[in-house]
Amino acid sequence: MTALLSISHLSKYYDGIKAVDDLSFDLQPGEIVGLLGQNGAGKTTTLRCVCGILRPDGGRITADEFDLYTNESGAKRLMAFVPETPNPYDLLTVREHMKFIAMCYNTLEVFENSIEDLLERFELKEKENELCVSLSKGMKQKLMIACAFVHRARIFLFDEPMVGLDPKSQFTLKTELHRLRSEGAALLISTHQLDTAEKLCDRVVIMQQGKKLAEGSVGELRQQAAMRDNSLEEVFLRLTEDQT
Amino acid sequence: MNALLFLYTRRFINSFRRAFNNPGRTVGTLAIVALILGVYGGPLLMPSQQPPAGKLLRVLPPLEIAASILTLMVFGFLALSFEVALNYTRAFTESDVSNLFPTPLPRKLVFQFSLFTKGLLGSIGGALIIGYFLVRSTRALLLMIPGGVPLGSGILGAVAFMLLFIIANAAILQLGVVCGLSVLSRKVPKGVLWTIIAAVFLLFVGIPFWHFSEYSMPGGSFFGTLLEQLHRPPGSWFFLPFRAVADCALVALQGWSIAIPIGVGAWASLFVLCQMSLHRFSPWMYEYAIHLAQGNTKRREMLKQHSYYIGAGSKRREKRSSVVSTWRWMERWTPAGASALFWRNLILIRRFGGLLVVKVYVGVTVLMGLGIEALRIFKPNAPLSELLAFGGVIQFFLIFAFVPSNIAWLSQTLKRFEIQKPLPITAIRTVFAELLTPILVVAISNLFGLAVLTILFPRQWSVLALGYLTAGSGYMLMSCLLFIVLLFNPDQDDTLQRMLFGIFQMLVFVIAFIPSAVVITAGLLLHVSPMIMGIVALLTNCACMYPLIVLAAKKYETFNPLE
Repeated sequence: MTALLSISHLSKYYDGIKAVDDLSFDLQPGEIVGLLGQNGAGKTTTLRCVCGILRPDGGRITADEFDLYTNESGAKRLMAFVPETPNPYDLLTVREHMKFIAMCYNTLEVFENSIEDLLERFELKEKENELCVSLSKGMKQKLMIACAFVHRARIFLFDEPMVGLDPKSQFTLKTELHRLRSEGAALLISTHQLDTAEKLCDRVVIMQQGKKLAEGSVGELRQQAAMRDNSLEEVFLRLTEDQT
Repeated sequence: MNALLFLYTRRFINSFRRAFNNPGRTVGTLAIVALILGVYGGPLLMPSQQPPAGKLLRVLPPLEIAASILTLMVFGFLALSFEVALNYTRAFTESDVSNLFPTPLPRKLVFQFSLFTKGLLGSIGGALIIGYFLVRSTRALLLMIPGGVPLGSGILGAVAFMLLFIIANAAILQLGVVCGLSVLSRKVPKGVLWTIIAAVFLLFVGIPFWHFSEYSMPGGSFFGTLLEQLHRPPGSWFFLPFRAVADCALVALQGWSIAIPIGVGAWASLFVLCQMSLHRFSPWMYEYAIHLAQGNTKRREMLKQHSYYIGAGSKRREKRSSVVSTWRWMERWTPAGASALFWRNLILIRRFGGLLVVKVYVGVTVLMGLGIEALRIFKPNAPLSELLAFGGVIQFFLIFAFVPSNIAWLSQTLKRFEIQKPLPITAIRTVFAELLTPILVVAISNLFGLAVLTILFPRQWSVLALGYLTAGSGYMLMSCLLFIVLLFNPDQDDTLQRMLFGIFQMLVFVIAFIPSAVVITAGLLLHVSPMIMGIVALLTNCACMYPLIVLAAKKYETFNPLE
């Protein structure tokens, strides 16, 4: 099967320090991959490179047949990125913010057809005409997630998507993620919630100090850590401690 | 492009709507709009008339117009260059990084649209304000000059000036961005860039200083001497592009000069060259924008949270392997009640960087004093009173350097109210304790500054004391007024709110120094000694402060920090 997202030999330096070091992995259609690692492991930098915000110092990123550097616009059209910190535009209303994102992707038709449903699903209906500045952190996070659905993305990049969400919204998001997977989308999720990752992800990439430390399904990682029925949390701790 | 236009239009409209979303804000906004329309709009829209007989019309003579524009341009050049070199431009936000940069919109379009709309907003505002005064001054001058050039030429000159002013600012802004991008992309080492900036800064300061020391005549006009350098090398060629902007403003009065086409060519060439460089650096644009956006967020945090400042300070100390410390006498002193608030504020202000401000203030005072002394050695005939007056003006404006940190402090004070309101301390004592700390910083700086200058110029001690007592006590009053403005308008989340606060600030600056001005005017009429005037000004300002503290305390009682 052809990979929907391919990251090959990705490197990124900050002031001479390697934030991401020769990282390679693929995402297949209909797959959820968890990106795990301790603070400062390079997860956010990786996601920011993949969605085209940061310019890598080395390596190649392709989304379907589009190379991110030779056909940036084509590659970005396939992706949706939800950042760790929800930063919607303070002076746009919820509806305006979603419309703006749709305009950027030139998918106003999709927006018009799906806006009411999205507002309902993410419990934003009551707030649709309120300025983002007046939203709580959780509501802002819901808005950022809803924005990922206003265009026809096939690759979804989530940076800590569960943080700040109430239990009901977490459940809604998980349902959405499963739906996307069943529709053939590829999802890359960076998270510290290892129990969620264990239940949600088909595969996991563990990063440490910018490098890929391990990759595989939870079962494969257990084998690698020489553990049997242990949780992903214990496997993660074993693998990362072995290296430090 | 449509998406970007939608974004900016909606934000502007929503910002305006927000200014009317509660009665307090509505009254404030309407008052400011009425003030602006009344002061600026009325005279401009009224038909040209001869000034009424016996009424003196205040107009700026061409020399002062040219000098003001030149100063502004040079200051703008330095400020914009430093602003970008220090990653200070407000063109990008974290919201752009999260929402705009991952979209498929062309990178160059997004970058340049944000850079020019937000980065040039100040320049356009500046150009409009100068243009306004220019039209008024030129019209008045033309009315007084018999057989002068038609009014149309004056307007043409003002429009030409505004266009060139904006092009020049756009070129400067881009130059700064190209510098930033060249460092980020590792084409130019940071050290080299800073050396170039320092060299340019030295030239900008050094050439006028050298000219002044070489050609100033006793009794000669300060502005005249400074402007004379435009006719002598090296100033004549070094400042030529800036002179072009000033000449453009004076077209109606002195016709088109040769400097104008040269200046237009120079600024346009710089603009085009920078555009070409920007194209080369396009892969690094977003990364550079992230640097700028993060810088802005940090600065906003600094304004909002002392904890950020303290945290950043702790990290720096951690790097230097030292611990967070405080003064020993502070550790021994354990006050109660409102004094405890003052005790905590002293610790916070020390970690907030308050002492750095004192050091900078005293450092600038020493340098200025030594500069004046040096000038007197080279030019023994240079009039000391004029030099000291010039120094006094610098010192007076230096006081305003305290204002941003004071506003940051007072804004943070409002946030602390959540912790303080349950404490068994009266409102008036709380307000007093909060205001006392930043005032103390200025008072200490003032004392040091006064001591330094009195040592250097002992004969002028009484005039210096008058200046320092007036400026220092006026600042106290200003702090009080600023605090009241913040209590009534604490929210500055958007540009329009900040703009309104800025206008209120301007009013505060004027009102705060009215009591001192009245005292000095009365003192001059009654031939009172400068020292007495200074003491009376201090006492008057203190007396004016009391009702303001009472008013602030009343507002504090009903203030809800969570709203």
